[in-house]
Amino acid sequence: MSRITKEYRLIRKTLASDDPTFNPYRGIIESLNPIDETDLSKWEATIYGPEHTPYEHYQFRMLINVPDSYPMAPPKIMFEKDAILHCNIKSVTGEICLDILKPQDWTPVWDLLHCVHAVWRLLREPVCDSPLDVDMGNIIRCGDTRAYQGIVKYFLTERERNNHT
Amino acid sequence: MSTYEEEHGIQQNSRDTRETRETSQEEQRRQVRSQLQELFQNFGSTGGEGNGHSDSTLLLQLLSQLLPESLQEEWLQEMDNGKNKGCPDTFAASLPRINKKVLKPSDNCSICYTNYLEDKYPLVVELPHCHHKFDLECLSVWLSRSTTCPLCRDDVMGHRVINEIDTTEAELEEDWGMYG
Repeated sequence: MSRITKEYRLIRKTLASDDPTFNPYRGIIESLNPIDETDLSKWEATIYGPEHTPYEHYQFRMLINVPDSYPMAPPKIMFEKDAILHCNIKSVTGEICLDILKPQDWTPVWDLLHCVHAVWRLLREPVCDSPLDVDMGNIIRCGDTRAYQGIVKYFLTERERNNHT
Repeated sequence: MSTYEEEHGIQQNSRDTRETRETSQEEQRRQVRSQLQELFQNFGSTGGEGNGHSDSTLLLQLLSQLLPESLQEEWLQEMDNGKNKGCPDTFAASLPRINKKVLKPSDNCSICYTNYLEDKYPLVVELPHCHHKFDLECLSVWLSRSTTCPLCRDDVMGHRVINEIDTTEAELEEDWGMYG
């Protein structure tokens, strides 16, 4: 059985559990599943915005591409286009800049749950030293948390309004 | 089956020239492609260094506008692969094997997530220094791309020289004892 098939089983079992010791992703990962059950190379995941961040109370969907060489090569993870504002995410494409997803820092012992969890942590702890979104990076670097939170909240309320109309 | 031209001893002039023209065009295209790749990768690695290269960044920008993004990504990845080469093929095979009796039912390979004992004849190896265990098959694929332990990032090539010398010397001595 291939590694990704094994993972699929494990992911289903883990996320279905209410026991916090068995499922440490409660309140973090809402769902993680293949888009089409017969094709385990394309996945989707939804995470909850972390508490005490401007992303709280919102959900974020991402698309995951699992290459043939997985787990020797990392999965490719993108947010949906124009769905999030963050200094390590290119909003227009959804591209994420996260070291563990780069080929040189990846190791095959990590799985999709780890990766999605790591993206969630990136929302909680933005890394402004190497920003993909330079403007957002500068706001954080200046220490202007109020402006940062305000601009993210504004973006997200706009996003919700556009989704409903 | 022979063609009309062959049966009648006629040269198929028109078709031949068209074919050669097509192949030379393809050849040209391939050449241009490899030249572009060379340019792209050279500029990428020296990009923006010193005054003499200030115009090369401009060229790189131009190039990247011309090339499709997927091709650029492929070439960049090729460069990365060249940089972090893995261990020599013999390294993984030279690692000490783990006896089946030592393995617990819950022990599994953290690369393929399979329990070692699911296999009747598990081939498990241990890395020097950090002593992390993996399936030989999984680990050799990983070590062909990297020189670090998947679990702790220990540089596995850092601790191997002494071991190798020891074993060869021991074998030599044994032989001498038998035939001397």
